[in-house]
Amino acid sequence: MLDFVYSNTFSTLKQGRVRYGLMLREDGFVMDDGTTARLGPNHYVMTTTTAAAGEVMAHLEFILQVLHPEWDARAISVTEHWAQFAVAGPKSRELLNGLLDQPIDGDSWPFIACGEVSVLGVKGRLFRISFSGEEAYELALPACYGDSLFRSLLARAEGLGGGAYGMEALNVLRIEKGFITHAEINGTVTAHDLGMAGMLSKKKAFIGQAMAARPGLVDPERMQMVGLKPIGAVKELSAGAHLFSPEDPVERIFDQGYVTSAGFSPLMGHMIALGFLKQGVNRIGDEIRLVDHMRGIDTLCEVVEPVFFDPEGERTRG
Amino acid sequence: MAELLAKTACAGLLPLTVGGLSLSESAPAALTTLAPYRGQEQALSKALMAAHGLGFPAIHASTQGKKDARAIWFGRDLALLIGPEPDSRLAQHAALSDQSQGWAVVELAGVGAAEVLARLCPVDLRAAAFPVGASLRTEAKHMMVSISRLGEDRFQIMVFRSMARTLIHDLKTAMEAGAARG
Repeated sequence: MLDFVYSNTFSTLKQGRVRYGLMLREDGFVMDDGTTARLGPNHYVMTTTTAAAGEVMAHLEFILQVLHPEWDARAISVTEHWAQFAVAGPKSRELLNGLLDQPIDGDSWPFIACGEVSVLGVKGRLFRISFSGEEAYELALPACYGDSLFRSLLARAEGLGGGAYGMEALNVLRIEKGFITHAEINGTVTAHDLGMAGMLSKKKAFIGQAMAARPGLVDPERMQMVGLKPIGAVKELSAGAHLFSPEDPVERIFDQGYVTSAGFSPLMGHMIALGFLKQGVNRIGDEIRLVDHMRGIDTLCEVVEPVFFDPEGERTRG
Repeated sequence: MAELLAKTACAGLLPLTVGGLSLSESAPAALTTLAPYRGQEQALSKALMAAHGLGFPAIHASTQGKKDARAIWFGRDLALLIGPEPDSRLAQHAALSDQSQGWAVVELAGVGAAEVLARLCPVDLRAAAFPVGASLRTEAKHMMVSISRLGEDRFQIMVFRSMARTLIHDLKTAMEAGAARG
């Protein structure tokens, strides 16, 4: 079933491991992304994006009730039962080891490991996954301990020179890594547009496979995801801005693409953005004009690879 | 070594009394969804009877077992076991999911309880349509709820844990409006 619902393969996922997956709609466009962890021989926990949780749940039910009623699998939401927190950064393991009854190390919990843990006597789940690009873990305990666990994690993080990080910081961290959200997978983009064509398995059938192969969806003229950094006098970038070739007039018919996410990266010392640009993969290094009429922004950008930082993922793997 | 403190879903919010009606938190020890595998409903029902003294509930119904064990209908091919930790043998027949902390479980009691719910829910909860023992999934002010009739004037209402405060606010408002009418 997971092989059918995700475009990439899950049947090879070992117990105690997590895998990132991409889901397409029947029409071949990207529906959602997320991770699925194999907790037991026939027991998986799937995460979706917050925005599409309901849509994915209905999608799974549709598969089980209509497309493959012969499959003997059941799906149920456990979102509310668990309080789950991301612990990210170079000291994340040290922080967790102050709480876990059995300390972990890099060998027992490599990147993408998952399993049951005991936290101050309470049974929970630990996933070594990262949406920040750092060495990171997600720790889940039954929701009744959520308040207490968060306070405890925060106090320990502050003791190690860290602290709580919110949605804005998370957004900057993931833009630096070129990780997508529903700002990017807005219902009109394909796996090819995202540079994720490699996640469309050729070895099995999955939802959206046939329609994703339509000429219009694999056309190299389509807009593809790129990174942007400011090179003009104006250093501000904004989501919702449109992109134009510097020599063209700023008119609708010359539109080359649009910006989906933007934020100030303290690491880079300037704003960075993700967006979609016609033939973007062939235009890395080119100059592009970013225009946001609503906010009055008009600036020149360099088109760059969508991963701004640590493209090899060495920090994530610790 | 520090300890983790457990908080129930309605901690600090309940109990409350308005007129002749009371609202209190039940916080059962365990909640487990029972999703039978294909063709296993009867076998699951037998296993439930042996372990907990109750059968798999029919649509819109509930069953009562040993001690505080109850099972309520919880959706298509789905039941919720309330009270005991599920016997491990049930796992042969159904997918069991621990939902113990996922729901806020409250009890509304007193004469006029059905009228209070009528202000929030689009279904008929009068005794003729919804007798003692009945259980259904509906909505209360756009929140998905499970409602069970425990007694003539006693209802169990469940919402997702994160919506506890909103449910209690809406119930309290409805209770006050009902009481104001006299």
